Amino acid sequence: MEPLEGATTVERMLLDQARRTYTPANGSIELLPLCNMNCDMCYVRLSREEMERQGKLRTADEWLEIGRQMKEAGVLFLLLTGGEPFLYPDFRRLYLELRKMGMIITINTNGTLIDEDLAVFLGKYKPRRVNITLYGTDEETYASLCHYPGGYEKTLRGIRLLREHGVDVKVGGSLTRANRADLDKLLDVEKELGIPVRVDTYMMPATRERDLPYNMQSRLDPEEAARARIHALKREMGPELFPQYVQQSVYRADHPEPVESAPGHMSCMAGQCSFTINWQGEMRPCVILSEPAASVFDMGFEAAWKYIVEETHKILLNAKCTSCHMRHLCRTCAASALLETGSYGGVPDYMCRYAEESLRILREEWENIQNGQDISDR
Amino acid sequence: MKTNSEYMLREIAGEAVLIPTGSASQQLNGMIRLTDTAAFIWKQVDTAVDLEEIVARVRDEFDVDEEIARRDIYGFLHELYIRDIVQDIPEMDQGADNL
Ligand code: SF4
Ligand code: SF4
Repeated sequence: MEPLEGATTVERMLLDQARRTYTPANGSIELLPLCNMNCDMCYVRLSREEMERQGKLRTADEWLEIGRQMKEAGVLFLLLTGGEPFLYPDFRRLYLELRKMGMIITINTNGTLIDEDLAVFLGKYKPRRVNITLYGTDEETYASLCHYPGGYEKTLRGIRLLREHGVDVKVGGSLTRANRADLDKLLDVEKELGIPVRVDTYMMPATRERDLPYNMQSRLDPEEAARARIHALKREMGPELFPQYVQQSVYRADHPEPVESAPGHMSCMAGQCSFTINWQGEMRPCVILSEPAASVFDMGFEAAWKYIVEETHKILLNAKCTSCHMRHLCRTCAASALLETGSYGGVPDYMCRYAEESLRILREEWENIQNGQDISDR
Repeated sequence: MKTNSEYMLREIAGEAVLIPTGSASQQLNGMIRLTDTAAFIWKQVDTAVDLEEIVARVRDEFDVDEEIARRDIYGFLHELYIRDIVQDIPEMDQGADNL
């Protein structure tokens, strides 16, 4: 997972600096677990009854107090997410006040609740970007996968309204068995709507499916995920950049930098300059990791962050991965290792197969490029 | 002189950035990274009467040639002035043509 997708150069520079100094410059708050849709693969959503059994929503004023502490600690980029954040009571006041504190805010939404009024509001007080998840490219998928008939049209309307009011939008999709045939249609949305689309083909295993064979899980099997990823990259990069990417990837696999094979620390931003807080106030290094965790409401933001940094530093990954020649093609990370294998130090078989297949296809592409063949779309 | 109150200077991990809040994001959606000197200049704006006073303060703080300081300060604040990020600069309100 990339905590701050599509970051500009200045943003990356700031994050690098933040990482060196363990400043929590980037974070997300999951405001509520409620959502108007009910997607099969969602790991956050609770019904109102389920939520009430676990606790109650924190008020905007409670979050604003955390906001003040976050500002002190150096939080700059803040992602508001859920559930569906636009269902959070008092969303607009919270949003405006956080912006007044100097936070640069991104919003993750399913897009279905964006009407003219909300689009005008966001056009006036612009977020850094609104990320909209597209679950499919027709009403059938929205009905079967998200149990929300009519959701497709509503999402498209939301995207259009935001664009009309000058709000930056990015569409994200994930490919599963249920919509595997839609990859190209999802990517077509980029041209049709004139906004960037990024389709993820790797999904961590769902809790209830972890012990099933890959072909019985709702995600793609590793080889198909790798093929779809490279197909998407090829379309995203185009004929100029893709050959360079192919060449560099193959070269790096054949000429790996000599590194000592020792258990490595986490290399992403989580717990170094990035954090997430769930609707109950529990801070964690990233959305996928359920531990280490500390409550910002009990401990205060600063102390919770210190704890997360210390504990994250103790997490060690497998030595084999540190020196692996396919590391650049592989998506393994602490969260992936934990969810795929049950421990941070595991070597996820799914990822090894994904990386191997990626390398195989890239070698094939490289041969075609060298032979001057037209890069055929597979 | 005054800074537009919808812009906030923040220091994140030792880096100074200028961030639009409120509806200022309609003019500038993103942020401006400031060098140490630029951040120092920004902090003087609300309490200085005119640009010459900032030139003097910068020369007290940094070891810099007067002409270079003047050129840089006028240049930097002119950029902010035309974007309405800094307002009421006497030297510029009279007409920016002689800059
Ligand atoms: S641990 Fe994995 S999922 Fe979590 S932020 Fe890092 S790379 Fe992303
Ligand atoms: S998971 Fe497998 S492919 Fe990925 S870095 Fe580790 S050993 Fe290499």
